[in-house]
Amino acid sequence: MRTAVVSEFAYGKAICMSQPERFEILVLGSGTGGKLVAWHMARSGRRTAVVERRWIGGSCVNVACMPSKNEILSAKVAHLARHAGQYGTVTNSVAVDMATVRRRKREMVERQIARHQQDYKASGAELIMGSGHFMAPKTLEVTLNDGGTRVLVADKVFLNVGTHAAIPNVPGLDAARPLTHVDALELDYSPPHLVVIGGGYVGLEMAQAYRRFGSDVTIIEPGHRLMGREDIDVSQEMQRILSEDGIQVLLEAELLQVRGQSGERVGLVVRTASGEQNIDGSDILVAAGRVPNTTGIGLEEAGVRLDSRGYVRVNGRLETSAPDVWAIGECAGSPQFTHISEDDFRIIRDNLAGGNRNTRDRLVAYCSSQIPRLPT
Amino acid sequence: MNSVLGAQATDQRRGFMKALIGKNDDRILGFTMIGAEAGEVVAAVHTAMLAGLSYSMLASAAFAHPTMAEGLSLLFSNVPPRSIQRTTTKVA
Repeated sequence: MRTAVVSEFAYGKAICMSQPERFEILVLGSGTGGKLVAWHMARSGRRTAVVERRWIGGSCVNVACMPSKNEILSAKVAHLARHAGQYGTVTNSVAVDMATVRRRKREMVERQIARHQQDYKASGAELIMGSGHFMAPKTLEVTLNDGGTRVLVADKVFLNVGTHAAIPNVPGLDAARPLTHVDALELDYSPPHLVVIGGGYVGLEMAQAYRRFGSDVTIIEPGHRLMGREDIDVSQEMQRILSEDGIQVLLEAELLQVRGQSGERVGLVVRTASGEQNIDGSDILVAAGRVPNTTGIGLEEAGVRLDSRGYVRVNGRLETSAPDVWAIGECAGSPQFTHISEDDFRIIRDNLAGGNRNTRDRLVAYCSSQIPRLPT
Repeated sequence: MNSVLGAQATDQRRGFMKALIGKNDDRILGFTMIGAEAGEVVAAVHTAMLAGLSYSMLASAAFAHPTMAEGLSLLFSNVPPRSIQRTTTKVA
């Protein structure tokens, strides 16, 4: 499968690497469930490759669970320091240095990535940095980040491609270059006025953290309550807590239009029960749901079918419509938690060892990290 | 969490815990908490659910004091007698 006829002297490596390479196990996406499959299989002596385009260890480690918890602890410290007097500790005026907040988070992520690289080495699984595209069932062409391509053919394939933040189709929103959780965790400043679009877990966690870092925060939620999947009393209690913290919450608020640039100055027009309203802010964070990373990677060529929302169609054993192809974690429509991705791995591992486990049988627990508040 | 001693002790009193109990048996079907250390308390209930423990075992458990988890014995002590047929319980 040569891609071009070129001088073997100059491009010998590229030509050589486009020959199909056989693996027993191929994992696309290095997030939690996928990496665990890879390490398990490689330790069992199987020739294993993991293809990852950017985030070694996936969202959890790099841009989601762990960095957010890291910065939320920084926000808690800021909050406690600001109110230290109530606990009997006397401070001078308190200031937040977001560059240090970010550095502390980056160091944590770097430590995690180093651990992952050690684990790859110890397990024997090969980590390939590049973007994968299926050319045929169980045949993946990888455009390497360092240049060149490789073609990988495997006996068993595991799709672990995850999701990314959805940007609602609202005039001016995309052009305003809004923050997602990825960018919000990389800020080295606290926005003067952060407007959060979406009142789910991600929006609430970041809203509260930035409130503690000193931002004015407004949450815009199109539904009639926050955390729409929770019981009503949970939504009400969370709203009460956020309001006490000084966060503005607009419910049943439809975002109509956005002007300006996030990071400079933005103007948002929303329609609420009491009419249209203009919100002036400095930054926008979009936390309005997720989109599976299942387009443009040749899943049709791979024989893998998607459901109407673009998630990989799987049965309770996480088997896809293609033989010997499984899907893991968020792209399989599993609840969007790292520990569930890990559980997806366990189900697949046990079934490959002759078990009969099903995603229906598990007990799903989860938590959202708001910051415990001070005495009232 | 105002009625939980661990919450009172550290003055982290916001939130609540609540549970759903089987109508025809004593199994714990669901649990929700808002409050300090909620993730740790959820793990304790998760374990009980996996083991199929009856709620009454948690009601009579001597959880260490002062903790947030000790609120579980209070919560499950509040489950009304079965004759009343109410299957949720909640403490603030």
